[in-house]
Formats: sequence, structure tokens, C-alpha cells
Amino acid sequence: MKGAIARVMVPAIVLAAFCGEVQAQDFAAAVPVMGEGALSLIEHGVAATPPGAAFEGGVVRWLGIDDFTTRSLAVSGRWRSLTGAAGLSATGGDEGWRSAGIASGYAGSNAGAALRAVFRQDAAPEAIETPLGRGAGLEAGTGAWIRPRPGLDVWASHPQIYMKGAAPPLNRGLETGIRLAGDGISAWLARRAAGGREARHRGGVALEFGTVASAWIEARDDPLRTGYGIEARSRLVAVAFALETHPVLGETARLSLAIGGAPGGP
Amino acid sequence: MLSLALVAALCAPAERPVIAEVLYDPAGDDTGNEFVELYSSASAPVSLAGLRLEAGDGSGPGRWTLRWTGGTGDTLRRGERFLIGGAKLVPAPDAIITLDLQNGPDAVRLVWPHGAIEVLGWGALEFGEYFCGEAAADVASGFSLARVPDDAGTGSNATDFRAASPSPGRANQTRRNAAVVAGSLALDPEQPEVGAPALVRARIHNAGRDPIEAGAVTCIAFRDDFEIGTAAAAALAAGETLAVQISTVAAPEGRFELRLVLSMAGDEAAADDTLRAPARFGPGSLEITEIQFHPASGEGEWVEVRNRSGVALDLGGFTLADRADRGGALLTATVLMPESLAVLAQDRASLLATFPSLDTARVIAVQSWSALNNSDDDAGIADVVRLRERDGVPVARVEYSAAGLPAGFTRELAGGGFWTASSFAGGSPLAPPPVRPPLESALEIVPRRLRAGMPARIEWSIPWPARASVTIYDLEGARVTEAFTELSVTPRGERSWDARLPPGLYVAVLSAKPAGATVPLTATRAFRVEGTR
Repeated sequence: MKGAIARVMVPAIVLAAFCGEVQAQDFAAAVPVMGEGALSLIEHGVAATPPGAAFEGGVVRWLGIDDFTTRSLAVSGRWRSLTGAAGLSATGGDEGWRSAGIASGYAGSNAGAALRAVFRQDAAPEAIETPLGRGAGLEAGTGAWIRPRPGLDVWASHPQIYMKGAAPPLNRGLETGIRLAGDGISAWLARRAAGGREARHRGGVALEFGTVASAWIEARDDPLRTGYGIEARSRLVAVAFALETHPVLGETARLSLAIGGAPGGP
Repeated sequence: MLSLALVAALCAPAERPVIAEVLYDPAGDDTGNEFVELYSSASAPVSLAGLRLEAGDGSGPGRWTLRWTGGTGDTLRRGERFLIGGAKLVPAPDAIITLDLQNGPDAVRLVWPHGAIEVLGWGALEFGEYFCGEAAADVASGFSLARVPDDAGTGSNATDFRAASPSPGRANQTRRNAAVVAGSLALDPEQPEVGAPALVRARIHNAGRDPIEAGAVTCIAFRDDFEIGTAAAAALAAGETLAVQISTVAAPEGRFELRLVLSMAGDEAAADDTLRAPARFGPGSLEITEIQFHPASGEGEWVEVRNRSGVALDLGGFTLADRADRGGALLTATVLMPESLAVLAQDRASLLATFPSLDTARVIAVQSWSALNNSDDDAGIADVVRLRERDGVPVARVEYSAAGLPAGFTRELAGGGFWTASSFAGGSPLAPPPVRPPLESALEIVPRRLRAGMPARIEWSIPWPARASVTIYDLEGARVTEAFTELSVTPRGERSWDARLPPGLYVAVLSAKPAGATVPLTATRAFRVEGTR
């Protein structure tokens, strides 16, 4: 089974690496790499939710702009190798939008894949008319990860393969990434191809403090900026906070809270 | 040896009066204005009785004719002058006669009763009897041939005499004389702003034989009859010229006669102590309000002006020029009412064809238009537009930069006296700058929700004029494009923008830095580009 998955996933990641870009918007979590959680599953389609039922909520203040703070809440469930999540999100006020998302897929011990979809409704009454209704839009995509050997993860996410109706606030193509982990330290590098422009990159290093906490720093380009984050975990609750600076705009602050399930991830 | 003796015999004899000045070609009518002046530096009085003044025709040898003979009462003491000439001379000559001198090559000579002869010849003389040593250079009409200094005796007409302004009855070169150099009086800057410091600049010359000690000359500047500043001049050697400047304050506003007067104890010539020039403090009757220096539709260059004088103004005789002050293009006569705008056009017909709704009476053709530059120099100035009155007094002057201005857009005077880019290609001839309402925030994108192909407008409101840029970021914080870069902007302004962006949410960032500042002011505004999939 593992060999079959690898034969499918590796070519898919390589092929997809030259498409658009990806960045969280409706269901953003604080953790930098797709970790376990309902929000990541809905946002990126990378399937890894904790066993059993879990809840996760997040708040993101984008680039210091008060008008566009995102608040999201999601629930996830996992039974054997099947995983799924659903959530609601609201961004901004009268100029913002509301979203409903769903994701489901396979999550094994060394690989996973999922489909995700988000329906979005602009809050502004003067929003553009679409076949789905005024200001309404739908997007759907997929994500996958594999673990060829212990301590090595490779992932890819293409959340907007299909779109209908109002265009989303952020064009999100594909992100590919790799993470190496061992002895309480991990490092990752991700590449986001931007159609017509130079690819964007981000990378970071995380330190694990047993099973109860982790901290990380991350940097990205275009323009160059840095961020840091911390996550504290107990048996049933995990809280994460991340802050990213910007040379021109304000800071992006992320806070997420997960309840239920068990620690772990891809 | 004989030749040398002959030459010496034709020069001024010792202890005798000499020919000091000859005016043989007065300006205009010669009759009554010609003269020969004698001057004595002899230690004792010399009688002129029997002295003969003869005129020589240089076209042939021996052609001397008598003009005047000294009487028994004619005597010259040391330092005195004796004037022989026409009845129109001032002061009246000691001997009034019609000299009827030729314009050269010719000569005059004094023949003393005891046989001594002094000859003064001018022009390209062929025969040696008509000059002493070497003939003096012929002088232009209106100038005299003057011995400088008055007792010069080098043995040659060419070195003893030079062209000079006629000075009958007066010394050709005074001993003590400070003079203002004609044409040297000017304001710096040429048209200072009201209340700003300014300099009155001129050059003064020691036209006397004696040196002038430092501080002896006081330069006094007047605005009409009111003194506006003084300065003491440095030491001046004989024949030396130096620049002087007088500090003043440019107030009150208006046109006036700028006058510089030199004051020096013992100055022997008052006529060259004063110089006048028309000048202006502050703005003139016309204000330049818009400049089209790189037209894109074939309408030609144009400059918009406003009548700020408060009265109807005849534009005839005003001149328009560029930085080099060349051309001095003349405006045709047109009466412009107070506060009205007029357009001075390089090509009136083409401008009216491009803007057919313009009031033709206020579109004025300018003769000999000097093309305005389209690119900046190292100082960031593309060109200068100058308006002057008929006599050259400055009316308005604007330096403009072409940086960051696409072809077709104009430089336009906006509120607060600041220059900005026009909001529209082609500018707004004969229309005042748009009055824009205040903004609630420093930056606005209008409309906030754009759609593909929809024109957008970027508006800003900042405390001061600045160099500004607007950069567009996406929701991820990645830089997407520049709406405009490093433009000189007014505190309140706007600019149209062709937002060719894919659908999404974006953040515009205004970065504005006033002159001299290191940290810019920044303002952000989120906006949406809508589209469907």
C-alpha cells in the first residue's frame, strides 16, 4: 500500500510544483507547517486530523488591518484512516466575507490525501453578481503528504483547482514543501510558484520541548520578512500563537486553539 | 636719424599746451558739435597768440587748411583747458568756429609761432606728415579721440589717444572717479519673493588715475526714492573693476526703479555715479498656472496664465522665454480681464483643434516659441518658463521637473502654491485646477470595489508636499505592483490609475516623504478587485 501511494504522490507533487501559490485565508491556523487540525485540513487539504473528534478555532489579524480580521471555527473527526472536517469563518465587516468549508480524505501513518471545498459569500451588498448569486463563490482543491522515511515529510497543496462564481480574496495556487525532523528539532522549506512572477519561498526551524510545547522561527521573501511562533499542548488542548513582521505593512498575528484529539501530525 | 627727428618734431612740444581731445564725428549732425580741446600741463602760463589750428586731408601730401588762430588774449595756465568748436557745445567753447573736420583718415595740428608743431592723425594715413609716431585708431561716430591721461606723451598718437565719450571742457581722465559700470545693476534673485532676502549686485570701476582706498566708496541702493541698503566698496586700483553687492529685503511687493548711487569724497565726475534699472519684488501681474511641455496629441506646447493684477491687462508686449532666456517670444495684444485665464500657445490652430471648446479669444499665439525641455538636468529641473514685461522686468518664473510625468500630462499649479501633475492627459487649458474635498483618511482608492477594466483613482491627503509612491500588496503581504513611484505631489491630490490586477483583496500603501525628511509617512488602504470565475 505504501509503495502504491508513493508512486502516485511523488509525481503529483513534482508536477504541481510549477503552478500558482498558496496561502491561508479563511481557515488559517497559527502553526507554520500543515499540522494536525481541522483548520489545516480545510484550508490546505493536507489530511492529518487527530483521532476522534476535535474542535479548533483561529483568529488572524492580517497585516495589521483591523477591517480584515478572520475568525474561524471547525470540527474534525477521524475513524481509522478516514478523516474529515467542517467549519465556518468570517472575515472583516461590511467589506468582508463569510465562508463555509469542508474537507475529507485518507490519512495513513506515512501518507495522506484529501479534497477540500469552501463556499464564500461577500458581505457587501454591492458585491458582483455571479451565477451562484451576488457575491457568492465556490472553490475546491486538494492536498497530500507523504513520509518516505521517518523524519522526512513532503507535502503539496493546491486548494483552488476549481473555482466558480466570485473570485476569492487571494489567488492560491500550489505550494510544495519538505520538512526534516529529528531529536526535537525540525526544519522546513516551502516553495510557492507565482504565475508570471518569481517563485516565493519560506523556511523555518522549530524546536520541540517534549510533547508539551514547541517554538519556531520562519522567514519568507517578496518582501523579506520574519516571524516566530509558539505552541503549548496538553492532552486535550493545544494553543498556538504566531507573529509575522512586514517591512512596510503591519504585523500578521495568528492565534489558534484546538480541543480534543491527540498530539501528532504529518 | 633725420626720420626720428622728424617724428619727434610732430609730437607735442615740451612746456606747451597739447591737443587733449578731438570730436570729428559727433552722433547725428556734425554741425556745431565738433570740437578740439587744448590742455596745458606746462609749469607756466602759455600765450596762445599766433597759435594756428589746421585740419589735414590725409588723402594727399601737404593738404593743410587753417581753422583757427589764437588771439592775443588767449592764454592757458597749468591745468586749464581751451575749447575750440561749434556753437552747440556745452559748455560754450572759448573759440566758436565751424571746424568741418573729416572722418578720416585725417588729422589736425597745432603750429606754434616759433615753429613747433604737434600733429594728431587718425585712421589709415599714408603720409607721415599727418601723425606723430603712429596714427590713432579711427573711432566710431559719437566718440571722441581723447588723450588719456590728459598729459600723456609717449611719442605716438596711437598710444596717447583712445576712443572716449566726449567730455568737452572736462578732464578726459579724472584723478579721482568711481563709476558704476553701465548695464551691471541687477537683483539677485532676479525676482525675489516678497519678504525674502535679496542682493543688489553691480560692478564699479575706478575710472580715475589715483587708487581708491577701501571704504572710500559707499554704494547706496534705492527702491525709487527709498534707500534699501548700503555697502562700502573694497580698495580699487586705477582702472580696476570689482563687483559689489548690497543686502536688502524684498518688500513691499511691486515694480520699481532700482537705483545705485556711488558716494565718494572728492569724486570728480558725478555723471557716472548713478545707474538705474527697472526691477520687481514678488509676483507680477500674470501668474503661470499650467505648463504643457510634452504634448501627446499634436496640440503643441502651451502655457496657461492668470491675470492676478486686479485690473484688465493688455498682454501685448509681454514676452515668454525658456531657461536660456532666448527667443523672447512676443505676445499679441489681447485684453485679459482680472482673474481670467489665458493660454499662450505655440501652435494656436492645433491647440484649438485639439480642444475645440476653448474660448478662442483667450488662446493667444506666441511668436518665436522657444521649445521647452522634456527631461530633467542633474538638478532635477527640465526647464524654466519666464514671463517678462516689454522692458524686460520679470513677471513670473517657474522651474518645472519632467520626472515621472507621462507624455501628455501637464504641470499644474494646485492649491497652496504647489505644482503637481495634471489629473488627466492633455491637462486642463483655461480651466482652474480641480478643487478636491477633504478625505477622511490619508489614502483612498476610489471606488473601493473595482471591477476588471474599471478606471480607478488614488486620492491622498497628507500634511505637506512630498515625493510619494503607492505600492500594491496582496493579502499575503507580497508586493504586486507600483501604482506610481516617486512623484512630486501636493498635500491633497489624486491620480487616475489603470488597475490591471487579477481579482482579489489588495492593500495599497502610500509612502510620502517631504523634502529633507528621512522617514516617510505611510498610510494603507485595503480595496477589492472583483471578478468571476
